[in-house]
Amino acid sequence: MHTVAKATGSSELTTTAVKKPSWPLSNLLKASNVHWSSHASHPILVQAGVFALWVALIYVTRHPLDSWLAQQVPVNFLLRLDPLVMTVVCGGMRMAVTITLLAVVTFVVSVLLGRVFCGWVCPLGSLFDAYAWVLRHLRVPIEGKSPRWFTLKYYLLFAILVLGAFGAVSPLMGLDPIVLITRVAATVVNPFLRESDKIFWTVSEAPGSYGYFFDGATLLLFIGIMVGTTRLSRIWCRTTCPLGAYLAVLSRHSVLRRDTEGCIHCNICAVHCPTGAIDFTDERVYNESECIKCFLCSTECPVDANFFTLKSPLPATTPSQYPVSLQRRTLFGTLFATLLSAPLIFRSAGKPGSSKTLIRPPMSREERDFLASCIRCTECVKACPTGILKSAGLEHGIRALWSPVMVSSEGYCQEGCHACSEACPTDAIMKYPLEQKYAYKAGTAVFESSRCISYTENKFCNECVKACPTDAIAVLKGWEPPGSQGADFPAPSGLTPTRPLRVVYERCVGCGACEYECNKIVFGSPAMTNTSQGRAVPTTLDVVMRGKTESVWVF
Amino acid sequence: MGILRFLSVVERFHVEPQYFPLLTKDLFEIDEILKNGILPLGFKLQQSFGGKRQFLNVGFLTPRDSKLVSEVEALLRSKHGAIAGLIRYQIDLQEYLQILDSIYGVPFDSLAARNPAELSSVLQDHLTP
Repeated sequence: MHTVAKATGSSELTTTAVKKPSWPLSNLLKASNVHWSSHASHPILVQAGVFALWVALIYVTRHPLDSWLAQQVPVNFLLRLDPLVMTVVCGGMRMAVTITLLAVVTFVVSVLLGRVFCGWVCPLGSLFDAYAWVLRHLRVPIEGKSPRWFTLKYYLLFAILVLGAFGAVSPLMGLDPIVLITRVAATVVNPFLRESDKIFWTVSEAPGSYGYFFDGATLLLFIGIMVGTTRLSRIWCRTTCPLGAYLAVLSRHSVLRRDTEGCIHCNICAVHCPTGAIDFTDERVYNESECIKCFLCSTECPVDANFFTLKSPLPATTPSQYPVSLQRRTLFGTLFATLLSAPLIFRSAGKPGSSKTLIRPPMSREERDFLASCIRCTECVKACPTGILKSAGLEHGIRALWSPVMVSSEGYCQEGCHACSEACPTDAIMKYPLEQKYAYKAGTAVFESSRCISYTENKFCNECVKACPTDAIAVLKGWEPPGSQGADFPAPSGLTPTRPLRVVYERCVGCGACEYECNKIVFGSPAMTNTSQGRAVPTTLDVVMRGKTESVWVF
Repeated sequence: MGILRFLSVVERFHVEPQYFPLLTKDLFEIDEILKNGILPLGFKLQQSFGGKRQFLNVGFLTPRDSKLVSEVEALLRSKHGAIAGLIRYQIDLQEYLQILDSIYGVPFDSLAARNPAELSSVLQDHLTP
């Protein structure tokens, strides 16, 4: 307890303005001396725990997903908690995709308690807070008001939702913090965990691709964010994060509100607030939408005048710093810009029929649904043990940017592996039992004899035949070296070696193993080329009837 | 503790006469306040393993003077044993003088009449023409 000197006339006015109606439950809590004044250690412990869990999940997201942790917790757990993912995917698919519905928990918590997810759970936010802690102890000034353009995040959210309504998970979804940090981790960490000589593994060698650039762009974006954070704490959350904007909209009338009874205007809470939600000129005034309920104001308050209590969700008047009022002109501008860009994005989308190199992972949804539900998190790319899955550059259009494609020259779809579908947080790659792996074709390989060394150089080579898991390559029997081992054996003059003849369409599943092996031997283009030809697309009904995936509720 | 104290962040405490915490106003004598360049700025309860403990917020004109901070802490313990310790803050000289004038009734002009040895080094420097 402490007393405060008599307030002046002007301050009395402010004090009156701050008073808000309280709930009966709030009075009960006050009477029992229970305030959510808390201690910073609580959110910090939760943040540290969630961040450790996220790191562990990222680490175990790799074939065969049989670690203890991967069996206890879905490897895509945090992505499934993301309500923006749920909204965009369910909106785009026009149905409730069951796997995303876990985010309803976050949705409800945000409506009731505010942006707790941002302050306690978000791993990117935890990273920012840890970084800010280091900077503060190095005496780097990172506190300050949010820039005036902090509403940018709302316009980005608006654009994402408009595009989502048209059934497109736009590349803007890549700005979602959970998606972004997952992709960064996959880009930075994964190459060191996998037997691969590629540091960047996007479609780097395909003609017209910009894979290096876009993997680099992810990294540059992340580095840029951290540099920005060096200037202003949580600048990404304040200005750009679309998930933060979404939760801010949801939490405008949360019941867990800040109270400042006995404030002595020392400015310490305003300085400590990581999102600049507290007004520097009057610390009792704050912006509920920007408050992430980290309780730092409460912990740092030197006279224990900051605490959180349950209050009526609809206060008559709440003084707010920077009340979020989006400018109608800018909002309409965003709408028109989005609507104008939508046809360009849609027309640039790749189609299996027109682009034979666009090969999706096995059991991917039909292309339109795939693009409506793939959130570009690259969990599948991370999980893939062979490196055949890459995130696309611009070679398949803007709409397909960062979506997973199979690049057979860099790997093959391994028999006995369905890690990509298990890791997918939105069922864009449907779940299926392992024994049904080849029930649906991912594509079909095409044989071009003019590039095969058994034709051009009369050498024995059966690498593609050996690699094929379904015996889909028909051969023309001929000379074989003793033991039939290895490749590149010149046939004796006058004899023709055993040669591939054709790919049996009905048996080929488009795993790309033949192309991968052929690519190791030939110079230039391989004789076996995997294509999306004949890609079989599981329909929702088909999959539900076969019990191959989690059910979906169509509405 | 030295390196920890060096790394610790000292917050800037904005003080205004109309919001000055009066409860702790008289914890230090005015002579102690002037000599050390300090202000008592209310209590803070901190949770620890042993339960809640009460700390005194103390504003310093020279918070990085660790010798001075230790002296003030010892003074505090000798006078008020129930207080677990102090939390140091940085205060602005102009705000300090304003508080001296309006809360403690020590106007700026009267400081010049005092013996310089009774004033903190910052005050002495400020009073030196």
